[in-house]
Amino acid sequence: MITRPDAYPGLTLDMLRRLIEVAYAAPEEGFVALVGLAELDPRTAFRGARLRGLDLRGQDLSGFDLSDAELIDCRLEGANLSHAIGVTPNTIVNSISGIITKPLYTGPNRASNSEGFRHDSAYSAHLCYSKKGGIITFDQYRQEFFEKHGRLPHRWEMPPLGD
Amino acid sequence: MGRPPHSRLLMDKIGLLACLINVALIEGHRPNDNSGRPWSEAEFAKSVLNDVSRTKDVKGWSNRNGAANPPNRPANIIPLLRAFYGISRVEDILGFDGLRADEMREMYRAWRVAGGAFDDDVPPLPHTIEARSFSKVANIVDLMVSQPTATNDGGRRMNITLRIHPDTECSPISGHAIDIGVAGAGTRSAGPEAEALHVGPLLSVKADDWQPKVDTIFVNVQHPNVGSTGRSGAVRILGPTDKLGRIDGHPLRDAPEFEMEPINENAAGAIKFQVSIANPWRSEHGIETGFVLTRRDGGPISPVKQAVVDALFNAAFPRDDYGRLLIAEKTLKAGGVK
Repeated sequence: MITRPDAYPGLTLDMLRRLIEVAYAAPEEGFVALVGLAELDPRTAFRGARLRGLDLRGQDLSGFDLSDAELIDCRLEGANLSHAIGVTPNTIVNSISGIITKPLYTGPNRASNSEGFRHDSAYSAHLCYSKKGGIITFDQYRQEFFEKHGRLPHRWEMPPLGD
Repeated sequence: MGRPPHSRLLMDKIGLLACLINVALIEGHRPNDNSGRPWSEAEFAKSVLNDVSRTKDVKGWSNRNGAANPPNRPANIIPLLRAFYGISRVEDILGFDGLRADEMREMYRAWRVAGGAFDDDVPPLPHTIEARSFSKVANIVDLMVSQPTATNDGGRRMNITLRIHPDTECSPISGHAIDIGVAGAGTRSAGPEAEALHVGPLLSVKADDWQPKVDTIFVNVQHPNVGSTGRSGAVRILGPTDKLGRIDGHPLRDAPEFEMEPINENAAGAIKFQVSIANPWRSEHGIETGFVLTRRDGGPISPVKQAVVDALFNAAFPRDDYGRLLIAEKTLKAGGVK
């Protein structure tokens, strides 16, 4: 049984401590670690959130509930959303269009970026394209196209959506 | 902030935490379930990470990876407390009086200590402060409304005093401190663009029996620190702002006395004033911000940190009818013949 002091406790001393811990966390701490520092429940804290411009590269969002959330202009290369809850094409579609060109195809991070989304089975059905009987991701297709042609594919050059 | 713990000592503390987690798995700690059915690693991984294949993480937390592999401290204890004891908010920890409450608190304490906090760093939880005010921890919004007086035409007259300041004196914790303020848009003299930014808290008045008179800031009177909104009975507080865009001053200074007029014959009901700020997750274009949090050492707050800070604020404050975060509220009895 939980005795709730108040559904919304206001700005408590403990809340101040958690705010300070997040604000002063090391710059290299990622989103998941910061949520842990904030002692937030990933199953409830980000439902319906509009998360804008976040660097979520390499973050493992397993156990996060992103129902009705939107990841807008976020960087998602290598992020694992396969076991996040409630992820749909609408959750990340804006991020996809906003992030992939530069970081994915140039610079020293290319190798690791090319593995982006390899775990993303949860939304692969929506974002992946079929090729030679298999399923590859939107990003992987663009990566391969870029390596072959030296440019990004136009929209009409993309294969049909996978199933 | 004290001296950082020696790494060996920290490992011992992580070992203690792992031991507690292991015991909870073996004894089958579950919310409202005294059956003692042990958790399987896959079942627990599913419950915490929504992934049955992540048994390696569970083994790491509970020191089941063999002597050669030291245990891992979970980055976030809340999902584990949720699975074991049904706790999903830190604020519920102290008030929890359910099954195995002591074990739950011990696990939380061990997790904090394993992260480098000293035993006595664990704050008394929850340190509850009046839910709809910043008082005690941060003095940011002060809403005062005088007792209404009756006017000759059956209305009610009252003085509203609203003071909004960034709190630059919040107590430091472990040597670190932050300042918290409320975002504004500047005064109207800054141009119509300021108002178009939709930045700034709303001051709203709600009453079943009353409505603001025409010659008030809620209807027709223009004031340099007040912008109009499409919401009935509400105005946007724009300024005055400091150099960081935080409201800093008496926004309604020199505003005319506020009057309400009855909208039915036996008007007597209460009048409620609210100050609310935007829920950043609801803004359409990312320009509507509520709180402004800055580090006192001037260090940056990255977008990722800001998102987590927003999540903390969102969990702390109640919502008004429009999903905005309520930061101050005052209800007055207007009196009357009813």
